[in-house]
Amino acid sequence: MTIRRTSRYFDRHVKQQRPSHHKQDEQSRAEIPHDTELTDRLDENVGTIGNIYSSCSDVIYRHFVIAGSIRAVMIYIEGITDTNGIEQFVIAPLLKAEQSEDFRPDQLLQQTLSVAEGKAVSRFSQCIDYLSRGYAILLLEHEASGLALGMAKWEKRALEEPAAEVGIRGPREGFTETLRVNTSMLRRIIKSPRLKLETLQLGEYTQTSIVLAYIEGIAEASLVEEVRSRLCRIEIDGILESGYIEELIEDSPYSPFPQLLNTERPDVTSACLLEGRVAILVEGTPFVLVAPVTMFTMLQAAEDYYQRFWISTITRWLRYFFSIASLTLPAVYVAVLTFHQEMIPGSLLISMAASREAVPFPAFIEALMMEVSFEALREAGVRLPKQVGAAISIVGALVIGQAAVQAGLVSAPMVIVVAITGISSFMIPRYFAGTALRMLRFPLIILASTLGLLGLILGIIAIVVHMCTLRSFGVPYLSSSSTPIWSEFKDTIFRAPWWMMDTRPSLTGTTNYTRQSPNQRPEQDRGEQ
Amino acid sequence: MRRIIKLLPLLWLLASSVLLTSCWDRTELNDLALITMLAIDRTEEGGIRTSAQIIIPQNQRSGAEGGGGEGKKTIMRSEQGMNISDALSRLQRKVPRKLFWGQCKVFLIGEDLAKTGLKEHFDFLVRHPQPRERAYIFISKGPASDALELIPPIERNSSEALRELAQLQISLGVTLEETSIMLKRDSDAFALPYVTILKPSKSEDPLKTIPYIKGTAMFKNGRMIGALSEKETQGVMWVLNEIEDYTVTFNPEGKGAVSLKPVKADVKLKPLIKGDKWSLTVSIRAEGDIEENNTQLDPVDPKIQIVLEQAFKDSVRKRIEQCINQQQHRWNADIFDFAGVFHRKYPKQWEKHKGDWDSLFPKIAVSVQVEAHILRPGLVNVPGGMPQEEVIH
Repeated sequence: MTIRRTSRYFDRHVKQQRPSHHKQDEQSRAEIPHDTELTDRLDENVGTIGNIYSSCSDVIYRHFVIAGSIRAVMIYIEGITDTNGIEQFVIAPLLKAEQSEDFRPDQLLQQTLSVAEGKAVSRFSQCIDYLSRGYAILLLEHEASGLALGMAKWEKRALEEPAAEVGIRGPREGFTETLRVNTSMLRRIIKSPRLKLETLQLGEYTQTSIVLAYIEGIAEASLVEEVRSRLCRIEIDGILESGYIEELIEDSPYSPFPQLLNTERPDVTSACLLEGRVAILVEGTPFVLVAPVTMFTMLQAAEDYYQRFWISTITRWLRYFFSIASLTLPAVYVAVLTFHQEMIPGSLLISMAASREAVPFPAFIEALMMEVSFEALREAGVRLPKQVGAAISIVGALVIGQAAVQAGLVSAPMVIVVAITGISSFMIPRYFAGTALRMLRFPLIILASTLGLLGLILGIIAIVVHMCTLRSFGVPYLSSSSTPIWSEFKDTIFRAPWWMMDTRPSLTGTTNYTRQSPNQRPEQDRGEQ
Repeated sequence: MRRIIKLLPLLWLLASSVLLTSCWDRTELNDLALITMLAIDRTEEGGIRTSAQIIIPQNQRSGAEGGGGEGKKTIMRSEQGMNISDALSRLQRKVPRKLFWGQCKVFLIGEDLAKTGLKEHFDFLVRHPQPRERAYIFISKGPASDALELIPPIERNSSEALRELAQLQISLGVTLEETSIMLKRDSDAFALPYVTILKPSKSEDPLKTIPYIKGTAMFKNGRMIGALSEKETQGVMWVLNEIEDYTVTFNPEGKGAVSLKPVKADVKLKPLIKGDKWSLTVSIRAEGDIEENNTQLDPVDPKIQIVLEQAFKDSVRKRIEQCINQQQHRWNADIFDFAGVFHRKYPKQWEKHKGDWDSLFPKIAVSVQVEAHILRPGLVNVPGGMPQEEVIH
């Protein structure tokens, strides 16, 4: 519905649909009421730009005279343009220029200006486009074309360790908010020219640059085309984060499960690209989207591939176990405690009965209360300023863990169950996949408290059925486990050593199935052969 | 959006089916009276008296946390009725919480009731869905309810003590399920563990003790006909092939005792019908390690070993022969289910003779074949604490 309304909005404003993302000029034209050519009268040109950028205090017009006779104007946006560079490499050489020199724009670029990137512009729409990207526009008297000089420079955040995906072993740099820094990080890892980075602009007002990254020859062409076409369908006023795109291109928009991977790590993105997946980088956010994914992708951590395979395999099993626990544990506890008391070992039940004796609430209310307050604590912990965070977590731990039990509001076993559930949901390497499981645990608790284990099983069946119907860009979400694909188990149930992972995942990497040459297992006598 | 609106009635239906169902089985743990042991006795008027041992949750916390003195951990409530379920429904009136059988792992039946017949009362235990099939069943010497009021010094409650004893497999342990099978098998006799209350040491409070398994109660036609002593029970367990972690002590050549532990045995019953003559071979393979040697014999010496093994063999044979002999002639109760063994091997003859098994059973010629080995002599080879010269080689 949202989409429909947006398109109506567009119809009113843009008359014609954009046929393709490649034609950025046409897109820019939409912003300018009268997209016309530059004239050869400088004042008129500056006036038009001034009208477009009326009440924009950050647009700077620098008038000067070249060689004592030719008037020129330098237009740039303060803050995203390198002012020092303009002074040193543009204005200074121009002011010093001799009268005998050729001052046509293309000649200036070749002879006078020491700027790496410069383009001739002849339309206002181009000027606006370049200005908004940090270029400086040089307009000269008696010239119907100007120069866009690549002087973009703005404050960037330094490369930092990704906050949401930490690891002990592995590269520590994460993506930043700057798109070009992010693509450069990918290029630094995958040096092959087959790494393709297609750029397009999305967002009526934000004009956000988006890069579609894939490796030609590994990613299936049909997949790339599908992602591209889905991206081109987006018509929105602004894109501030990759989450906008994620919701606009995913297969099942109502599902609680994320169908695109979002990652802050260049190494994870590169690994996905090498598996034949496609990455979508968005200007202004360190979170990169990867598609298609399966449920197992959500449960694979970057570190799995860097440490010894035994440990990775065991860690994975632990992770699988606890991700199921994070979904079902409180529900199982409630079901068993209120319906199937005979299933609990006798002495344990007696201990539970003893600790529940003072609790005034039914187990269901108790569970709901604790789970909700845990979620509240978690949410508060994320939003809190760092300075108060520690105080709140101590209060939370004390109030919930200790005082509530001592006051007889909740029983100690329930606190243990909630704590285990909470911890286990954070064992899922992809934070947002964990959120889905944490959310689904509430309906399961309700089912378990009304129908017991029967209800719990019904709920689980419903979830599994839903997951079976999910597709991520055509790839079944539960693939390789719903219908066993034995070769896939090397990277799902196990993490096979690298010398055994000879093939790419069969669902995304079929175009170029062989990853490496076989028989690479290190052997002692191999050197002598 | 329209899709969601379409789904709304469905969601409404689902929600109401979950939330409006009137018959919730939900019972909070706080509303349950956890029964750990049920005693069934016969009243003088011929009715049934049931006594339940119920956990008191408030008093379960360990000493360090609880404080405020030592409360009783369990309480006994009893009530009479025409049959078990009648008595129990009356019992419920005296207990503010719902009686819960799911954790009742011991059923104790009074001797008086057992002697008048167990079969008719057994129906409740297998019909009612809550009692566990794997609960242990015992026959108590004297009124069964006495055992419920004991305060065991080691275990949490007397039910736990009995259950642990039955699990040790030193004495007989029979579950509800096994009993219900035994009640229906070819031979009309079976054995259940026989429990009595251990006499507490002099300094102890008379209630601070446990019930323990003293022997075996024998049943024929569903009624208790007598009890076997501890030693006789062991013979029964040999034949029933339930010997597990068990000590055998014998006197080789009458020169002091040798004990073997653990003794493992494998018993096979081989029936044979030749004409009119029914016979049965009990072949036993037994092996054990020396645990104690009070004689002057050196068990490492192969010659001596043969002597020891022979003594071991004789000892085992004697026990079993005595035991079977007693069952055949004194009690005429086929608690070993020889009837089933014959039935399986000779179904046709069995069909003919199954009516007069009572007269047939004592006449069966039983021969016992024992193959016995002593496997390990233990950490010392010569008898410990004895000078080398005194050892017989």
